Amino acid sequence: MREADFGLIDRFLQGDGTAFDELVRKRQREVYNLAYRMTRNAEDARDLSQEAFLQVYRNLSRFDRRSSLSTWLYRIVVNLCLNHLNRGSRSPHSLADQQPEVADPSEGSLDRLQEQERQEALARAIDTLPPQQRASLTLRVHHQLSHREIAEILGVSEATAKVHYFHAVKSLRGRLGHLRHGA
Amino acid sequence: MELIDEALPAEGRAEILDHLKICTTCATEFSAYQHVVALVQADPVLEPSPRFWEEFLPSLRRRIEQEASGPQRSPAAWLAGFRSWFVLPRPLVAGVAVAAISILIVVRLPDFLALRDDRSKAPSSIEQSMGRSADTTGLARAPHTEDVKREVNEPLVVAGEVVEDPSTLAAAIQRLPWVDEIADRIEAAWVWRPESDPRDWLSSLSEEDQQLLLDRLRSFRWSPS
Repeated sequence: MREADFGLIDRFLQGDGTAFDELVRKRQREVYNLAYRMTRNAEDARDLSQEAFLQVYRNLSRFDRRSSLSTWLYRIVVNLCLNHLNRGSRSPHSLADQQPEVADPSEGSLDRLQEQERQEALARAIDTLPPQQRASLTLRVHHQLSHREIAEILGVSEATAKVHYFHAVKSLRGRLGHLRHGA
Repeated sequence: MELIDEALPAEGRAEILDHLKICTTCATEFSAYQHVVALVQADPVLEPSPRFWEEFLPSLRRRIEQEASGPQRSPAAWLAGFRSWFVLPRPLVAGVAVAAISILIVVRLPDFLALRDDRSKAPSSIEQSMGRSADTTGLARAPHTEDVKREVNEPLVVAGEVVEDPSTLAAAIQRLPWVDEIADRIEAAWVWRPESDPRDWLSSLSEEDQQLLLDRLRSFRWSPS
């Protein structure tokens, strides 16, 4: 994967405009998903995703390849999201408006309601996490990154990245303990 | 927690799993943490419409072209801003934050050494940015008290490391998670206003925020009493 990414970068630097398009198509979903999980807002995730790729476009010539392209890209996305969260700015749509609908229509209405309640409770709980904890949790659980990779993305020590993650899980445990799977 | 994170070596893992078979309290707690992680794993993303994906790259391309042709934004300003983003080492920014905090500590040393338990503060901007509520119990405790522990007759532990003398204290402070949050804010302010001096950020704190910052440091119990 790393060699393929560096190949795309080489093509881009040699003036092949399609290389950047290829990079965007390859990464746009994971970038959007990361931004969405950080901001819990679809409109913000879209804007931040685009901004992330703009920064990649502007700065790809300065990418020194000491890290993988993924790590560098994730660092851009996470930093944009952290700045966005720290500024306290959020697009008008509220969290409750943005919950994905329960996918399986064959579930009974009670199951659907319970699943919706779980999702809303989880969204509210994640919304209370400090941004760095939210980032560590998202990168670990949804992107399966190691604590070392997360530390590189967040610009902290590996120990600090672990602390962020463990505190996030513990905090969610405290807020969601009343929910039981399937109950 | 490391068991759930699958970070234990085989021997340690086996030992804990054996314990969970006989201890219902620990087993219940472990199950609760597993459930939380499973909930997070199952958390879906609000999937955009197909049209969103069709438009994503063309929209991005239009923005790139607009930037390339637009006269209103100076490339130098953009480059300066983003160059500072990627070139400025984070430890330097965190170091500036530590230095500025240290200056605050020295200036307010008489207040800083006294142990106070102020339970009446409303959330300020720092409080909100660190995700703290007006809960008075939380205000009386440091935001990450697990990072700093001190029992009677035991050494001061900060961010998981023993601090034996003041010269190592600054390095330990730098490893505290909430100091990173302050460094983040300084860095963010610097990226968006590259002409600004990040040290100005701390001096621009309101009196209330400065007091809150000192309260946080005080609650780490630097002094044994």
